[in-house]
Amino acid sequence: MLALILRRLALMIPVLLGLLVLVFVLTRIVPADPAAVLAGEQASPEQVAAIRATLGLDRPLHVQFVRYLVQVASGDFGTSLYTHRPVVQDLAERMPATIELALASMLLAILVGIPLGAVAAVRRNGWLDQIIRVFTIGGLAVASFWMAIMLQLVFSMQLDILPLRGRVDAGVPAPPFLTGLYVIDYLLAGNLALARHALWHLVLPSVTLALPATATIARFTRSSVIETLQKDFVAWERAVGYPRRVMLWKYVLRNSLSATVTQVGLLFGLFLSGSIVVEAVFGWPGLGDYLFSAITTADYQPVMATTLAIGVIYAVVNIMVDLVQARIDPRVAEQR
Amino acid sequence: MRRRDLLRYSATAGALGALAPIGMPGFAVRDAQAQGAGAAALRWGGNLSRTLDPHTVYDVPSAFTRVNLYDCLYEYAGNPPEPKPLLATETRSSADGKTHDFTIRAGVKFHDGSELTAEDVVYSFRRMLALPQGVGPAFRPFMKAEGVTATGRHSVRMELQFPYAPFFACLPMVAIMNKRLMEANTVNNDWAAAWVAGNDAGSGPYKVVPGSFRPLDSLDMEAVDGYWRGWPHSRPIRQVLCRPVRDDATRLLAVEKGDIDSTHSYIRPDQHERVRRAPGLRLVEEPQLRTYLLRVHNGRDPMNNLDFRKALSYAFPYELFIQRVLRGTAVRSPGPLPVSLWGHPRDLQGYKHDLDAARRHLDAARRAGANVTREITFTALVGFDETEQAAQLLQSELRKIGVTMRIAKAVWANAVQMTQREETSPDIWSHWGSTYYIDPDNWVGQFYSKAALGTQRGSSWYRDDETDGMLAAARATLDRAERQRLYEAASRRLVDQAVDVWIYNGMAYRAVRERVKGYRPGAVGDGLDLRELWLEG
Amino acid sequence: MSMPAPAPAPMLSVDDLSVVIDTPEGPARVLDRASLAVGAGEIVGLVGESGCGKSTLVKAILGVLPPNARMPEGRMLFEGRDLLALDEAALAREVRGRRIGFIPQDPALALNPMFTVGTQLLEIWRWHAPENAPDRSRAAGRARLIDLFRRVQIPDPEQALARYPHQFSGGQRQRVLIAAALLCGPRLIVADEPTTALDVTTQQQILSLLAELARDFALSVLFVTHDFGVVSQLCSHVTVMYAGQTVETGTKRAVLAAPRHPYSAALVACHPDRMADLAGIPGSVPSPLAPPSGCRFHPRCPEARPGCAARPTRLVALAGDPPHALNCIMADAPGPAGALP
Repeated sequence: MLALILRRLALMIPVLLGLLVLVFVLTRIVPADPAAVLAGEQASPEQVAAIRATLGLDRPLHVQFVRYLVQVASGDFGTSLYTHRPVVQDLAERMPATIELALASMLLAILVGIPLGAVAAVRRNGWLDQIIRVFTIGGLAVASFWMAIMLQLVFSMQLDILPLRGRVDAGVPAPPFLTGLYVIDYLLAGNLALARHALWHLVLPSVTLALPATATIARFTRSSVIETLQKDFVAWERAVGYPRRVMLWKYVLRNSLSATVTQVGLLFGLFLSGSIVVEAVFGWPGLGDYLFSAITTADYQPVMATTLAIGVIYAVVNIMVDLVQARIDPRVAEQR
Repeated sequence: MRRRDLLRYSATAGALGALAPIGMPGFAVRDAQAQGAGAAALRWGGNLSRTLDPHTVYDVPSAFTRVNLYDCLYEYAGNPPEPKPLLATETRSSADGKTHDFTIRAGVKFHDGSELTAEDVVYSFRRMLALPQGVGPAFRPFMKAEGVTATGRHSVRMELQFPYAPFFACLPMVAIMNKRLMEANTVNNDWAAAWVAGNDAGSGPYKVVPGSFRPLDSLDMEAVDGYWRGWPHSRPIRQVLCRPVRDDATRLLAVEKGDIDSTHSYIRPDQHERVRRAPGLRLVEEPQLRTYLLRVHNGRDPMNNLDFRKALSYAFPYELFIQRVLRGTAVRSPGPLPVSLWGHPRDLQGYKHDLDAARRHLDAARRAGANVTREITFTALVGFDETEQAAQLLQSELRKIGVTMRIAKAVWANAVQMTQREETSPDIWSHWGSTYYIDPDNWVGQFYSKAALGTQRGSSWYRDDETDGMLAAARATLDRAERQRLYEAASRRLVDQAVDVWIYNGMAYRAVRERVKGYRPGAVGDGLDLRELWLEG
Repeated sequence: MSMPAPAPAPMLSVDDLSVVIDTPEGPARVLDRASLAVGAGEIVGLVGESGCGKSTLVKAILGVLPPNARMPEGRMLFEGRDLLALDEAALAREVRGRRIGFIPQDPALALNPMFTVGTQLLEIWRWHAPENAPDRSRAAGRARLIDLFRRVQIPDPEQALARYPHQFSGGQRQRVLIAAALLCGPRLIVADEPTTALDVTTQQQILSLLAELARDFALSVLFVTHDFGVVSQLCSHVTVMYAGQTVETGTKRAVLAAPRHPYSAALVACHPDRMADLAGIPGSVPSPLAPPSGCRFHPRCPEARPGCAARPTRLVALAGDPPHALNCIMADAPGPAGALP
């Protein structure tokens, strides 16, 4: 297992290098001049040129790239042109928010999607299957911003049982930074009330984000369980007298999970990109808002660092997915 | 985590924890919060800038922190707003208009308790001039760092390189910073830019709660006891929690629910009715000097033909745009200056939507050899629907007179890049003429002087010696009547030449909860004076 | 309707069992009044071409027919209990794995690839450890399993429990499955072509192992095969099926030495080859969606006569010893007098 992890981590390096090159080139070829935007509307062309020189943007592209590589290699991801804060500091504040939301959504999607899919498969073509099918089609078809507004209207405005937006209410202090995930950090700080407070804030955004993923997972699980049920070993397990319940939820489900788990890795990308909309609607202070404002003002260091960070998260999640898959399926562990 | 964060956290969390015993439903925490310290706080939902540094950013949201965290030598006061002394108690200007002596108010304390002196003023101006972005570019054309000197503990001399009439109007842009504190936090010669981006070094009525600032996301401020100007209301707002809401729909829900006490000032016209009807809410109209105009590339065929430009000016459906798109929330501005500002000729007629006139001018342009059959391009700004709506209206009107126009889109950064060179600059694009300093120069001087060429301000590529001369003369004289005469003449000349298509002067709209009393819009951007506010109940 | 009934009630008897599967093309009668009996200590070979209903019969006995199958008629008694009267849960609880052990056809596919052999086999023990076992704990099951592994000659039995199915060879996997079938002390073993997927050498080893185990544990075995060579080596009795019907049944000696049904005769004749083509008999097993009228074999029967297509035939006991029954117009001739109840 350790060898597997190391090998996957080693494979990540060229991928991230490639991503770095791509992001660098993209931020440099877009026809937006960071210097001009930074200088502001009052600046003269000479002033803009001076800023450009200060930033090193007048140097040849390959020189700039080497300088950037050296900078990144020394752990420096640059400084925002606007906040003057190290990008690493911004990321440290915002990345956990996005990760918390994505993890909560993933958990929700898995915990709901897999049983739904499995039940649909077992009750194939029954009324329960039909209901689940309507749900899954709906879950994929509904636009998440619409879903978000509906949830806000019902649960926050009408029923007033869930908060409208944010990670906590205005005036509630953030927990001491340990994991960056508020629910967990409040718990670790021993404050159950605030942990629940943060969890309550997590509900609507994660439900919104999880909905399409839940539908996808349910669909994959359903078809996978149906496929597994045709397998010889299921016949054998029935014939040797496994109770149906045990057979389905332990033996059949585990075989079906392999395909679903692969999906979860891919879906995490969906969570990260989908979080841009969801974060905006729910005022969730994650990477989406940050990246958006950085892109619109050509603040290239945060853009590169954020993209890289998202790439790393995605790669790490997929390594974890591989590990989970290796745990589920012993044959996978041996092949790799 | 730093120690003081931990203390702050423990104290508040402890208090909250005590109010919400374990076992209560999660939302009880919010109720407890609302009844506790939170209820007395103003929850400001206006936008936040990405930095608290008052020198490096100059936009609508940054005015909010600049005005309330800092004091300046001058402030804007009155209606229409004029620059009035604030930290300056006395100003003496030399006859040639180049040398200005300021006496600084004694006894003003920074938030760390130290006294504000001439040294701080000198430091602040030199810092502003040294930094490449934000406020500096407006000053650098007429002022050098060496020109700012302390002549006493409470007196400062500023020597301009040449007489510059908008100088006083520019003074409210420059926040005075605590030199000692700034120098203590300077790293690598950065003028403490990294530190002050998330902290304050001011003497204003409010101060930043340390560690509370998260760019674009949140900022907590507290009232400063014994602020030198005093507090006009007996129960002023002690705590201000800035919690901007980015999403349009959520923003309205949040203010309707009471999660925030006010929105930003861009409530869309189609949402006005809803805000007016919502219980506990009111819609505040904030008059704006901001103008909206189409920039026309005067250096390129066929827009280099006066008749073609007049055809464009006659083709735009001003009334339709203001009534339909803006639902009547703006006034027509026929010339380059805001209609309420001095320097705008009261009798200026400008252009009306008149397709017959447009056709006549188009024919004249064709006869003069202008390439009127070329497809021209309108570059609309991504994220600003209004620019696209203006483009569509113009496109359909132009089609009626036989001019083909394509609509392209660009993000702001992209458009700025395009306007830096005459060859890449758009045929037509549109933007708002925002208020940096309240002086006619902010609009005509900045947009139509030759010095502006190569920036988005000069994107009309207009080169006219006579106008340039008038604008320069208006900058150089301190005689207000003479300046007014020059700006009126320049405005008429620009309109006669149909340099751009000037459309409207806007109104800003903000949803504010009824419990917020004493609300008065700021003169520039979100720069309202929070001292005047109190909360009912 | 007739069975050669030996004096003691057989351990398993299937009488006139029909199975209908509802397909999109209509109902398919895959078993048509099939009958079978396995007495105590007998090893019964169930023989026939692919598609003749052997597997369906086995599934019906084990109660694992697909959900779209129904059994409109017939009777199934096991140790005196009516299997058709038990629901799925009761079958799983009381019969399968406990009283009837099952050895599947393809050892490569029959085990769940995601779980160790030990986990899967002890799951059977968990639910079906015999009531009379002195210790029904997991540890006891493990000990018994290790014993059985040793008995079926799996090397390193203790380590074998922690291994995954794909870590065994084909023959070893089949030994694992045999051990699984024996784990909870069943009285009857149902083996569904357990050697077909194996190479010839391994086949032989598995067959002798089965014969030995049946003897040592005094088991009854229902052994499905299409190979008369296997039958002659292993079985005491033979039941021949064709197109969902039992066509001939009797002792191995009787059927092998003197097959009465033309179909049995053809099968015996082509021994020991595989059943790829039936020597001298053209055509193939008819579709259960549209079976021929009368005797289902008559379109292919070398001895077909005019009456064969006219009316359905029944399984009729033949006079004499050893017991022998036939489903053919030739045996039917004597009329009701010759038929057993």
